[in-house]
Amino acid sequence: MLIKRKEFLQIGSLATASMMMPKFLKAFESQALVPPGNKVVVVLQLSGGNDGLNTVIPVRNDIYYKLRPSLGIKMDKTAKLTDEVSLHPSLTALKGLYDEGNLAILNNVGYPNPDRSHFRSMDIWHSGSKSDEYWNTGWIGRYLDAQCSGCDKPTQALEVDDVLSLALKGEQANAIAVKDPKRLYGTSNEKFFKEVMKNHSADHHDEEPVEYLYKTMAQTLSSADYIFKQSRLHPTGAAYPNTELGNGFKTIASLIYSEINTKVYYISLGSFDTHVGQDAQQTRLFTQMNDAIKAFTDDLKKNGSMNDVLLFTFSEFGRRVAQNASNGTDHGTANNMFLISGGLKQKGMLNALPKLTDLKDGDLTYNVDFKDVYATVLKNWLNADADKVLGEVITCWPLCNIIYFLEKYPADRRKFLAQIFAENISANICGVLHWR
Amino acid sequence: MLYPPNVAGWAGGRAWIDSSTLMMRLRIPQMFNDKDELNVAPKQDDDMMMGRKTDGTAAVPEKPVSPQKKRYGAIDAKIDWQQYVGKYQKIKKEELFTGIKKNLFQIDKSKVQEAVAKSIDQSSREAYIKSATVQLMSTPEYQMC
Repeated sequence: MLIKRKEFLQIGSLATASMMMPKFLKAFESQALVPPGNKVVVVLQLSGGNDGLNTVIPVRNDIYYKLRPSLGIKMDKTAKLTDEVSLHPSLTALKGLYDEGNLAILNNVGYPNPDRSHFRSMDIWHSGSKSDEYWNTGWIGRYLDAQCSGCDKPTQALEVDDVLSLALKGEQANAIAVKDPKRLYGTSNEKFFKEVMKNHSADHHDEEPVEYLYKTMAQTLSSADYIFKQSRLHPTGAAYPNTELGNGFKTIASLIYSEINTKVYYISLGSFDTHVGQDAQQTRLFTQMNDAIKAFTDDLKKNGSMNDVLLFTFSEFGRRVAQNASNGTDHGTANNMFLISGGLKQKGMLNALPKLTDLKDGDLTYNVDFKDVYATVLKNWLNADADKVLGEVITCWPLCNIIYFLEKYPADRRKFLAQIFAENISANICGVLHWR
Repeated sequence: MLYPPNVAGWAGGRAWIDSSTLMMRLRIPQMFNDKDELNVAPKQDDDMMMGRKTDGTAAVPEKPVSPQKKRYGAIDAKIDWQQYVGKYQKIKKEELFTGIKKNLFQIDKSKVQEAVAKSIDQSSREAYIKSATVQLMSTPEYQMC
């Protein structure tokens, strides 16, 4: 074999460099992969527009009980957090997490000119667009684009579902939707598909549309293989409720304990669209959610991963303050979000409850833009370029404070970042600074 | 096709292709032929359903259904094979494969032959046509029409 001098130098210098490199430096080589113990985000979507006011309940507010004569939940039934605030009676595990300091609640999250259509508002939350823009990619999809340019397995983000959401579709890469790693593996492992793939020679031109299908197929087959093998590496032994959500969280936990390179997991629960007979439906869903989160966080704590996982919830909108004539509530605007992790810097109630005296056409007004929450999660938890993913420079809002800086920053860098955040906080637009 | 990604509808080009939509399409001919169970749940559409099921009951059952018990039902499809197979009556056995391929594919560059050939049922002429058709329809090339 003839090696050209240039090639020899290239290969040679690389070989020497990696041989000489101390082991701890080698760890930085595979930055795109997630080293064990690295930070992971789990997004729990509450589809249908969850009623935030019966989730985080202002138990001392007369207006709440006046506008919801039958739907308002009496203080003695609720899961009490503080003198002012309670959770829905079914959310006992979240109260537990609150008491331990593993839960943060962010109120009044929304966006300007809110849309009341489920489809459209979910679209805005998924894509991260303004309410007058229409984007074809999602915020996690664009994160994936940045993480996975030219990689063969787009597994940095996974949706635990049969169908992929817009949030996980990027310009270049799409995440993988997998409800059951074993089933996906079974389907994609069919001999026929493998044969077709094998016989497909690479001498075609890349521009041909069919090549893109082959590329997607190849990525799916290799991802299915990879995900399945990882899911069997350290399957969790903990008991989970036998619901779709429970099984989903069990899959996520098993993957978190493996060596998979996934940084974002996405899972949904619904429907929270409670126009009629809200109490029963929300209670059933919250019971499922509460039990699944309880099993998941207990499991994480037992395995020492609680500090490495950030679980947050969102819904496409909240509901109107007043109840309707069918013991339900109709589509509203701003809503609250739960953030659950052992790595939260600020815990508990992050900002003030919604002002029920300051309604706009009977709806809550937002004062935290959800895109700032994304920016904070991307920057401070996933260490990603949030401006690139979200398309514009977003003010890093005080929420920065709630999440620990990545441990890998040296002390001086951490100090520098803290200073930048402090400056941003003083210059920020939202009027909820007093809790800093 | 009934679940576009957003209000803007389906964008042209590659937008519809992701791992789940592609694998679904590749499996459809086989599932119709075998009357398989369609074990894929579409997402809920709250704008249409308002949190209820089609019969007006709450979308969330009082007791959660265990995922193992959830059944979507087998596909009930009838394929008019007789008419289809009849069309190939006059074609010689050796040219049969090329003929089927020409009918199904709009592009003719692929080397899927060898892959497909391995899984074709050779037991009878009819079985040959049926299995070759289903297999060819399960390739990425077929998705290009």
